[in-house]
Amino acid sequence: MQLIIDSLPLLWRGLIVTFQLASLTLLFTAFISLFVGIASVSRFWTLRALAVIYVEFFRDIPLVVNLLFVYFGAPLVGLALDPFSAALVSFTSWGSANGAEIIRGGFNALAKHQRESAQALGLRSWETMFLVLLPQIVLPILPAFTGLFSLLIQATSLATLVGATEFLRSAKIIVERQTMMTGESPAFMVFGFVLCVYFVICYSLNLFTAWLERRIVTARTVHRHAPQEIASTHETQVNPENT
Amino acid sequence: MERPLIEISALNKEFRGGIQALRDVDLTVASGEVVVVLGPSGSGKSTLIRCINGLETTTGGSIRVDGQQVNGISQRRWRKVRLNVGMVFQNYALFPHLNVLGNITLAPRRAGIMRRAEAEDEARRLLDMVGLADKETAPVASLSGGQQQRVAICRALAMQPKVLLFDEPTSALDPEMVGEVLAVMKRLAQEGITMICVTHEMGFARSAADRVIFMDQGEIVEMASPDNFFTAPKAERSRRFLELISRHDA
Repeated sequence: MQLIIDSLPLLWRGLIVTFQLASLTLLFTAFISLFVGIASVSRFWTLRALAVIYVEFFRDIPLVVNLLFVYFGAPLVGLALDPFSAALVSFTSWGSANGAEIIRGGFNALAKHQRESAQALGLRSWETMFLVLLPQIVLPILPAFTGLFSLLIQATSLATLVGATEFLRSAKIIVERQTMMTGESPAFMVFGFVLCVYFVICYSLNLFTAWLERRIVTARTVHRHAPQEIASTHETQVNPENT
Repeated sequence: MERPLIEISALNKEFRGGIQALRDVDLTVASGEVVVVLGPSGSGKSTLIRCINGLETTTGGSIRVDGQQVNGISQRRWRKVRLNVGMVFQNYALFPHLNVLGNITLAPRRAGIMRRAEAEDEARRLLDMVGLADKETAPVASLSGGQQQRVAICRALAMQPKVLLFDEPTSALDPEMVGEVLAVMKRLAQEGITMICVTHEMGFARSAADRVIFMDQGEIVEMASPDNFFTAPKAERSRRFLELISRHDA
């Protein structure tokens, strides 16, 4: 335990890098997913085809292979990426391919008459997309997106492989240093601590989205300012006692 | 003579897969007229009115709305036409992420017909007319089917369309809610709003329609005043249809 307390500054620096990598990855993933997801339900077949190519290409390659490919492949096209940027590019491309599929699924699950009624009201196609369809898929895709985000946060630990000094790598450095100095490996303890930290982060994310989900559902179903309705709910609460 | 609001001539619609939904349909609707379209399911009634606001493409013939040729035009130009053609769907198709007021005001505000305050005043006036004045802030999911359909009618009316299309507006409703929606539709009919209604409500057809159209297998079989149609149908197919309906009613 003392070891972990002594190592906190190093672990903290690693955690900061992990946070930076994760938040940038999630941010770019969200935007590119949205863009590719919308393209995949476009009226224009060229956009749909490009979206399919993007999605299939990145989804069908293991993330680790993708990461190594980006890191070692980038210099070949004259782009020397540092470990952090390589990891960011790799995770974002993989994440947004999967995110785009989630968004496409959300659109496909929407009833056809939603698009039709928006069209029938004379809304422009971008208005139909952004004011009518998109707000409606947020709720159904939220669980899947939380899963993807959670996966991406966990995947940032892969950046260790190309040498980014993020949280997991900091822990590894501590374990190796301690093993060399004392001859005893504190691996179980240190990695146990790492495990707990990842768990807390991802669990908090899940709690947050569960809360968000409930809030949206309530906002869309409960009429707050209706005296008659409050009265009628009272009735249903009282009725069981009467019978 | 005043130019008819809707002129359909020799309209044909063949779905992919070869199903002929409309065969040489001719129909002219004057401003202020209430036309009820009857017919068995699969007769092409819904397809016909969906062609009038471009939700279906056509494969032959012509449609004119307010003098403008509309079949085959681009989506962009359809948008302009749809500003004048309101539609009420069978399953209401309200937007569940907006409350009642949001549903009604979205389109007129986006189209630049009204500003927010104006659109909300108009929405309140319409809600009052359909008996839902207390529901303006309600999420649509908290409303019954009949209430949702009345809101959907307000939403269509808020665009101040020249013609309203009704696609089986009461078919998805529980029986006790049909009356409240039909009452609103009758009132609109009396106010002189041009309406084309696909429905199975014979009572509504009898009392509110200026003209009844009976369709079967993609064709207009008979076109008559409601009195003539219900008391003395000319075509054999109309007679059989009415017989089936009355047997079902009894």
